[in-house]
Amino acid sequence: MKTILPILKPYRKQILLTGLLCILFTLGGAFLPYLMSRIVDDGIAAGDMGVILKFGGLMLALAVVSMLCAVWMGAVNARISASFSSDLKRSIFNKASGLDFEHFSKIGTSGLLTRSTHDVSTISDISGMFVNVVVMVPIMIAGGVAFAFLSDRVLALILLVSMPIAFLILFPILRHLDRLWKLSDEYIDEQNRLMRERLSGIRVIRAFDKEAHEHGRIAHATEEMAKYIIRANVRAGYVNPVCMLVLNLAAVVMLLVGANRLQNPVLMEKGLTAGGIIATVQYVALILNGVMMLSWTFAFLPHLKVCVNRVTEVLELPDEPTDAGDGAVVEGDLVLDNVSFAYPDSELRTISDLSFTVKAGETAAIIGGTGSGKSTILKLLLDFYPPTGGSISLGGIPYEKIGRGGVRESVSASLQKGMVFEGTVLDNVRMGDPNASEEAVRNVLDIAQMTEFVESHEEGLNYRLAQSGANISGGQKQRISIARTILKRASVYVFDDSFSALDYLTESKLRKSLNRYLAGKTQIIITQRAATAMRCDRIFVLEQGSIVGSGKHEELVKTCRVYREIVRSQLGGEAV
Amino acid sequence: MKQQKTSGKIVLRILKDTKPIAGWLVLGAFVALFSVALSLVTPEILRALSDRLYDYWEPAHLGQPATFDNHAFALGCVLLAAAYAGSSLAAIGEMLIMNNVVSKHFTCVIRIRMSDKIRRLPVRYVDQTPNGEIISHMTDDVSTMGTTIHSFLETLISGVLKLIGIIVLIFLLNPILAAAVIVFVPLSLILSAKIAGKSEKYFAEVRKKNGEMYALTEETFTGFDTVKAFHLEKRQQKRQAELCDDMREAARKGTFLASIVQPIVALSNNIAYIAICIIGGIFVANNLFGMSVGTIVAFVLYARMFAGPLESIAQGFSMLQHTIASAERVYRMLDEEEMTETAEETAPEGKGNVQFESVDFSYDPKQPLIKGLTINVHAGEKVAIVGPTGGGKTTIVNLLMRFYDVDGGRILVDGKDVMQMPRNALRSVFSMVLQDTWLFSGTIYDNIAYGRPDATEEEVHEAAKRAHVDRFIRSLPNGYDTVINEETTNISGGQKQLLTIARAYLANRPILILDEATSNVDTRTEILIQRTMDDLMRDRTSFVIAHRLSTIVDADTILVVNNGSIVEQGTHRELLEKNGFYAEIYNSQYELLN
Repeated sequence: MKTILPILKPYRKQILLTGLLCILFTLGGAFLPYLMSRIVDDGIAAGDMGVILKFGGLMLALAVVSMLCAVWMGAVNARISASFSSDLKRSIFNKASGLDFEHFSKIGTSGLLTRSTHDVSTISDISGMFVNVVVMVPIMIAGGVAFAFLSDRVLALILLVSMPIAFLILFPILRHLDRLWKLSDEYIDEQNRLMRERLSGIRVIRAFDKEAHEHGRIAHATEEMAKYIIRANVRAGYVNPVCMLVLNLAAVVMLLVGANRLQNPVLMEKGLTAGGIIATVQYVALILNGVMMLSWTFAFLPHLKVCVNRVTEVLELPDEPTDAGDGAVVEGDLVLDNVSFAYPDSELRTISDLSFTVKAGETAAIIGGTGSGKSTILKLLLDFYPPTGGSISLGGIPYEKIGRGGVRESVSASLQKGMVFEGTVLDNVRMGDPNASEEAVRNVLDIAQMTEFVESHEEGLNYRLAQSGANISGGQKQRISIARTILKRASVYVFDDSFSALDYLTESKLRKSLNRYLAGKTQIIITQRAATAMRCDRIFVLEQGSIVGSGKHEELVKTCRVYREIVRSQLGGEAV
Repeated sequence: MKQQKTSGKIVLRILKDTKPIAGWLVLGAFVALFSVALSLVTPEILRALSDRLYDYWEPAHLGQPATFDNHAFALGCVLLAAAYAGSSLAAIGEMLIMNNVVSKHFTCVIRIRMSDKIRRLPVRYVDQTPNGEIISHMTDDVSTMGTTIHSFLETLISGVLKLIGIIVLIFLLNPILAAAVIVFVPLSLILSAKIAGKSEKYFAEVRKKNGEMYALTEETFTGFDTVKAFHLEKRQQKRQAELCDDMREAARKGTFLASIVQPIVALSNNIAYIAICIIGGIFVANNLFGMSVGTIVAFVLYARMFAGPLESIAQGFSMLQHTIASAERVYRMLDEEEMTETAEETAPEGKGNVQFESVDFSYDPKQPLIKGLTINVHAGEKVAIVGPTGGGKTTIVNLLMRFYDVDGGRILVDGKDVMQMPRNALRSVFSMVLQDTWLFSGTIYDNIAYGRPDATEEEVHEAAKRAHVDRFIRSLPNGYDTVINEETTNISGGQKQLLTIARAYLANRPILILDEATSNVDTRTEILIQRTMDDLMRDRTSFVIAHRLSTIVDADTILVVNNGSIVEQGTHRELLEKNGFYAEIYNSQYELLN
């Protein structure tokens, strides 16, 4: 709550305004029955047309003013809730996208996604209602009771007592509502997960004739979900009838007691009237709304609390520390000196005592199987994580001095997955260098063997890629991200398994033009393929986080057993 | 006009869909009728009670003699209490029916129907429709449909009954006063429906922007490393902020418009209320039409009751468009054309002979892919399919397994046309290992036994041993009972692929399809597993798709696929001698050396 409330601070004045308008609006509503009682008592009883018209006119004026107040209040409330929701969405997104890797992976991609979309929406939806309730309900209830006191003390007391009775009945019904909602949420997730699994595995499932089995699993999750949702809705469905029953019965009691008190001459002397009793009974309706709204809030509060806690957890994470360097590109030899690394919260070292040097302008390969720690090296080279031991330096300057910005300016990397973003091909490549000319973009796309793709679309460079590149293949994504990587003016270029989705023919063409384009720059190629590594100036063979061999292909074939096995398995005996 | 026609059709379809629960709906209507009738009686009782109070007070407060029949008054109160209680209980009964029958029918039952539908849809549908879309139809669209239909039927049943009841009763009480009340109804109804419709347009905009924001957020978080590596945080934040601004405006307008519906209904109600007080007051004061103070009270209460159903009808109209759009998507999926299945009971003998006889096929009629493909594979042979990425190698698997059906020509398995046998019978002679390892969330044991749930424990362990994962599985804390799910991080891609190899081994079927079956496996493990793969292929017909040509040089036939068609066909030696496309691919992997 502490972290979220400040977002409401700029709207303090508006919230006060709503409160004021709400008082006016509620008073307006509450005055109508009072005026009606005056018509009955003073007008009808005395047969005085003037009084009837006078109070009637007053009622009309009051109704109009009260409506105007309500409309104004609606406008202010709409502004507050829309701004609050938008501010909250923005601040959580800014926070999450600015996190460092350690905190990012602590909550995880899907966790952050739920928090910054679903949870935030829930908070703003409910809190819109919440503001209404906090402001309106007390005024409605207090107003109703106060007016009741004007006509009779005892009747007002009956009204007052009926409210806690309604809450007492509703409390056990609504108490476990949040648990039911949570359970149903879990089954929705389960149903969706199973469905996603089924759709992605449709071929295997059909090959093994398992569609009935998979359908059964989904149907079960759906039925469980429906069971809990219905239970929750049924419980929530009790709120209105129960409130109505209790308060209406209170009205009956008020009538009985009122009739009794009316026959007491002393009280009648003091001004208790038939109109007064009738009006008081009508206040029940006013209070009824307040009580129902309060019960609803009570039912939603636990759900809100869960969402708020989860969002707060993100908002309270520390920002990335300020950058040490000036963000300029650094050139020179890349040196890893005795580097070790273990992921946060993990005992296991993925990299241990790793030392190697890649000279400026050289092309080096790092080869190893899955789980050898290859991709971790990339994360260290980009300063996603600092090494837990040893140091990395570029051009003789340690990474800590160059700073995060400088490191990421100097090292341009293409990642295995080949990430593209929603937008045009041009946008996506230009992320490497926002000031690059269209000509430069065409050139790097040509190097990445994407010219044919660009030309096959009418829109050319302005062809729009769908979210996460859903409308292009894995190989095309890899090539667009290679184009982006080389467009960036860096000193070291790293390709992490970036050719894995390409066939040898395409790879061969791409690598040839790449080497011409990046002549004089440092290249590091991380790969599983021997053919990709073979012709590099230097090859580092990685196994279980350590280097087990380094040198040129010809040397390694003779000296390194692991390398020899890799080559033999991939290229056959003749290559060794 | 056309849109209205489809809307009408969808509404009709929804109504038709209530057929299985029609009995319950009738019962619900009866309960609602009961509840409405009782709630309409209450103002009448209150009228009588108010008259008694007023008739006593009017002379009494002027000091004139007056009597009050306490007994009759108490009886009236008891009646009133009974009416309130009965009405509330009936409302609870109606609520229970609506939730347990209507909501269940329109959410749970429809979702299960959709899941069942997928069993009968062709793979083509699943390939062409983004998975997220299918899931969103099944969750969001059905949920929108369910909620609105619930409140729609509720309004239809109790709201309309109530409105009619009130109108009849007030006209019976006093037609002139009734006319004064009714005159404002259509006005406020039309006005609020219009406003609500307009606000719904803004909310549709908010939902659209919300969808875009979800996509942006998802892409930023899944591509977090790229975002960081290229300093894209600011760019993404700017785009998100723009969406936030758009959304803020639309949400503000929509919320504001939605919020003024209630004051408008309230004002028109209050005007009716005031009209009742003034006109009624004048009538009573002048002793016209036999009006009493109680009649005024009853009128006021009836007028109050008007507001609820009116508001929900106005709301219902504004949601209609949105609901119809959702319902349309749901029904469109349920109406998708299903696969046709042959009635014949023939099954392949399981020898493993496969023939393609001048097969034509294309995914898109505008771009013919395979034309006149003829292959003759004898039982036990190894067929390799090679070629560049995206060239169409997987198409052959799709046709063999009848994930897609040929456009022309025939495919014969053991001499029988595959179109003449049920799909599951055809598929029962195949085992597959695919590049995209697919394991379901469940234990490792169940995953291996997926193709043969009747396998003994020894057989499952043996399959795992053959795939060189037995030792790894046993090293896990829960061994074979380890549950694989989305969060599983201690099993690598390679190990997952080994599990699918074990699964194929255990299934033990005469024809084998290996589509990049070892692409994720560690090179050194691959050497170990090669023996198992050779075992697997021995005495079986096998179709092997591979990047690494070293694994397929010994194939009986190599099909070279490029741009969707078979460009060359022969053994490794023949193809090298031909010095064509195959030779180029084969040499390209060594070209990287130079």
